[in-house]
Amino acid sequence: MSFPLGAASCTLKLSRPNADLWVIELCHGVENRLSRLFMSNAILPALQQIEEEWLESSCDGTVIITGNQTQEKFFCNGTIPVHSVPVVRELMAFLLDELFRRMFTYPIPIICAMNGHTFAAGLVLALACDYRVMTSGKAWCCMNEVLFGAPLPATVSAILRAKLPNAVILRKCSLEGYKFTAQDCLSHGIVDELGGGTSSNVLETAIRMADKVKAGAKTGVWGLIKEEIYREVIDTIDESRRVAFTSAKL
Amino acid sequence: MSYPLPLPQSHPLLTVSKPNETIWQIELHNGDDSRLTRQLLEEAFLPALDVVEKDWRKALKSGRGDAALVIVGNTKQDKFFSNGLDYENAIKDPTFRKEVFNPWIKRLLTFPIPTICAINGHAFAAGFLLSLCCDYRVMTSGRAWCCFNEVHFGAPLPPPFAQIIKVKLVDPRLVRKCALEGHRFVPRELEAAGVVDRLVDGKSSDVLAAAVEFAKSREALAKGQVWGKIKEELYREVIVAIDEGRNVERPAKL
Repeated sequence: MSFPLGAASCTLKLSRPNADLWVIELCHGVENRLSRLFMSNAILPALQQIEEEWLESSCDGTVIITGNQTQEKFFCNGTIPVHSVPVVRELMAFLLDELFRRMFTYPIPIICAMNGHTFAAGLVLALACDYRVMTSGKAWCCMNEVLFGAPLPATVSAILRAKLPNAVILRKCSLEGYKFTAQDCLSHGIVDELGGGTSSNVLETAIRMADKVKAGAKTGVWGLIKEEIYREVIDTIDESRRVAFTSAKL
Repeated sequence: MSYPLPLPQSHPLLTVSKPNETIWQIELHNGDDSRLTRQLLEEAFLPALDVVEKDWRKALKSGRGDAALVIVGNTKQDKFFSNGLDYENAIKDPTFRKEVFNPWIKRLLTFPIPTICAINGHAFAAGFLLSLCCDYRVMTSGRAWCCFNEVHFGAPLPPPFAQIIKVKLVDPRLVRKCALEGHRFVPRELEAAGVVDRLVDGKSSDVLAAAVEFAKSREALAKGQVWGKIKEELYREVIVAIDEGRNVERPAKL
């Protein structure tokens, strides 16, 4: 299936290789910059489509989210550049919250197959998944907001705190804008496994992992358990906590 | 107070005793697998905790404030610590969670003297929770699993469970493994992860003896009289989850 539905250009390809496996290939260009339309008309509808198909069978399930498979450089480079108009910025923040809330309460295990560079909101997207497989090739994970002068949105901080393994890595990632290599990510527990150096190898590794985690979906409580474990993330989103945005450039 | 004290007196489900001057002991013996029934919690466990605290405060007044509490399963067998709630009956009892279960969690979690759980066998769901509510865990090295199996039988984790797992296990990957995957942890895994403080070879009686010895090493922490108070803040999210009466509703479809 191609998303957005009925659109001339495709930014997301959804496939179902098995009864219990769905693959979302993000192909909003090669960088997969998160824009409002990309989230509202492609990613969120795809997740909805998968859930409805899964509900029909009420079975095991895994969703893999991966980047553009025609290249090996990027998984997701974050959002499109921040808009100067405040109401547009707020719309963007709202949609990011919607997307992350959906992922943090999603009833089917989600594996992120990071087939390349994963920066800023792209890293948050990866962390919003339940598991992460990363290319062993030359790719970095980085929260570079501190380097270009943007505060971390409240939701993003909550997600980093919820998923990064300890205070040292949290500081390195969010305060120092450290560029974690694939090996760094593995040894620091940011990702669970490394796949081979190509996009298709990473996807294959994720598919093998999917087989081990798919049973989590079966009893229908995966999302409900997540909602409690990640209570701070959900509360931050539900309370629409916002950090005042100032940038040296404005 | 005269020990040993079986509770409830009509049909004992646990026994409170005092192995030595500073250590109290609660042995669960609701059958072999000590299900945490309403009766056990309301008529035995909560009163037992009150007895221990009252006795300690009395000793405190005479300048003997060192104290610790050991909690162990049925020592006449070596298979179970506790298999948790009598689930089918618990979910049918509309006031159980609010009136008995959550207050018991809060009480044990913030108990004013160090608590040492002697995990002498399998600890499933609320049984594992019981051990995590204690301050320390001494476990058999033998064949025993600790597991939150709610995901396997399709129950959402009650909010206090999720918060306790988070605050005691800490590492997000470990929390994921425990709460989401319903992993069956073996003793060595728990020791390596720092969830269990000591492994003990042998039978239930050996695990209990080691727990009593461990308890003695921490008993001095009681006399400052702030042990429970400090825990109330450390475990604030658990308290809030209980006080807010948060519950998780299962979707009607599944």
